[in-house]
Amino acid sequence: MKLLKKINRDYLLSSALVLLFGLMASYFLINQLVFSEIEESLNASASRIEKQLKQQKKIPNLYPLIEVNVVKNLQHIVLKDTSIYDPIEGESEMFKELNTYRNINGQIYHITVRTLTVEKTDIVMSIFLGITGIFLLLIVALYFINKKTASSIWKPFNENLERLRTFSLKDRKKIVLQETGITEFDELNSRIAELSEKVVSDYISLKEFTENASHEIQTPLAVIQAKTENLVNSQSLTKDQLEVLYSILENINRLSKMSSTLLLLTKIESAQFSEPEDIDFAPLIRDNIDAMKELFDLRHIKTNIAQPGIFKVKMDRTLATILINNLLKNILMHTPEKGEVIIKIRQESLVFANSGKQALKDKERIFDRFYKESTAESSTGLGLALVKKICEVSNLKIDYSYEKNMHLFMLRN
Amino acid sequence: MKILIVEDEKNLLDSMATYLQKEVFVCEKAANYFTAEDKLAAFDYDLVVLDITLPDGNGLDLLQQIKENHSETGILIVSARNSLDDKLRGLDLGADDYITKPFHLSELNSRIRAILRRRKYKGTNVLKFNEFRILPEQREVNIHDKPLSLTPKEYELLLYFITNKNHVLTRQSIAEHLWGDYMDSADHFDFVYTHLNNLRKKIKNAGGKDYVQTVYGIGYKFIEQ
Repeated sequence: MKLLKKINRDYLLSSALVLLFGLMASYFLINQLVFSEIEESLNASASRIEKQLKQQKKIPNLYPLIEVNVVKNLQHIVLKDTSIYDPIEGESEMFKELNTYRNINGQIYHITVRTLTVEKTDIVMSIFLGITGIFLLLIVALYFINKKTASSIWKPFNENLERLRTFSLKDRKKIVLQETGITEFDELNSRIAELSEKVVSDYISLKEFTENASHEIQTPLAVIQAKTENLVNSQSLTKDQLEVLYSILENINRLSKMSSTLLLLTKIESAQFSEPEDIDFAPLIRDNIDAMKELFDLRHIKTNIAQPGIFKVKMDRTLATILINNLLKNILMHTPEKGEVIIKIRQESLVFANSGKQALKDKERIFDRFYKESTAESSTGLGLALVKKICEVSNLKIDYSYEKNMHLFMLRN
Repeated sequence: MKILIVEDEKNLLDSMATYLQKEVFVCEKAANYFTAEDKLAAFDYDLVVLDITLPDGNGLDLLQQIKENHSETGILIVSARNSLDDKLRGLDLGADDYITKPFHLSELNSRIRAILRRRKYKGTNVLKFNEFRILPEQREVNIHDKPLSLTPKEYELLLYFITNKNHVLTRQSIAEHLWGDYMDSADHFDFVYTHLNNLRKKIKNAGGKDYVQTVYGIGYKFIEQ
């Protein structure tokens, strides 16, 4: 719910309650006032009639307003409401009626004065209508006020919101927000600005750290590798010792690949490869397959490229190359001997299919860093993470599925 | 052949020198920019192995100096960075080749040899080893003066062996030399073994000797008998 809507709703709800209370209060107040006023005026009329009677003047009989009768006994004064049919109006009307008994010049007169009163329901109705009118006016007024404030108060706020939405760490710029002139918003803005500045600087230092760490690791690795290789060349080593040394060399290699792949991931994240151009994937795939032909042949894996369409994507060429290279390396590693690889290039999708005995167990996680299902020791567990990352930054979708003894990786625009 | 190795990591510098000195190289070492600059001013080198990240200066500046004052000297850049930027910048400035840390010493040696062949002999040189005659420019191999027909990979393998003769070559280093970047996952042994077997057969059929000795569990060695 919008803030304004919420404020207005609460506001109107409480106004309605207050108005309802006001309605009841006004009713009692008005009723009271009118009643006492009527009583006063009826009493005054009775007194005036009495005065006339004392002066022996004739009182006209104005039914139903005035009735004067001679009675035998004095009785108590009675004030009551009564309904009388008015032949002129043709309907029953509510009257306030005062019955007094006066002893004037030895005769007892029963003086009845009546006056037309407003019915209670009429009072309630009129008050209700009045208040509802005010209420409606309030809503209309609020609507216009909000419309006006929305454009003045909320404009800078919305603009700032847009700036927040487009904020990206990759630009390495802190958020600069517009001044709103409203204390709460400006307070929020300055906190956001501070926060973004901190986030950006943390991000940069983390990136730098990752890059430096990846680079710095390579030199000691080079030392270990060079020393081990020189050791391998010394004459007096036993077979077991050589095997240990080879294992060391293999793991140096793995560590080095891991670190350079992590570095590559970091670089892709920080958009260091972002020169998009139209990439036609077919030649890229053919080049890669050609380069790897022997590797596939040696394991008797058949490769087959079907091209019913042209798959084109606007992305960085280096990234496209790394993407294809890593997908194919992954396929080469996980296709069993004498297996088959089918690559289908369509306009809307690019599918890499390779034979495999069973579906991957946890297909949600295959693109995670360091997630491995195979026991292949040389795998870094980063190949598919790299593929996924490249897809992400290039607005490509990649999905894995398993059909008819084939693993399928589908790329879509 | 005289080469200068510029590398600030002393351990690595020594290991490189140890390996390369076994090849008929005279190796000079410089552990920083200052020493390297001094040595370059005093002597002529056939090739400089240059680490571009030095503590007291930028290796790329040294590269420029070498280009200006010793245009005959070959340059092989060594860097911990494998970023494309660095690679291109180094090659733009006139380096002959680029190798990324960590590297196999045998690969380093084979890159150095390739640069020297290109620069020193302008492609006219012939690599001779017993009954083998290799013409690197034409990528041709002769055994007992008869041409030997090899696939590109077999040729590379033979050249790699002869360049690094008497050194143990690990399966991993051979696989990487032959397939580069495509080779980080597959089983090294099978691939190398298959190619090596084909090569051995062809050499044997052409009347050549089998100089390749298996170093069990690790790789192979090309022995000069």
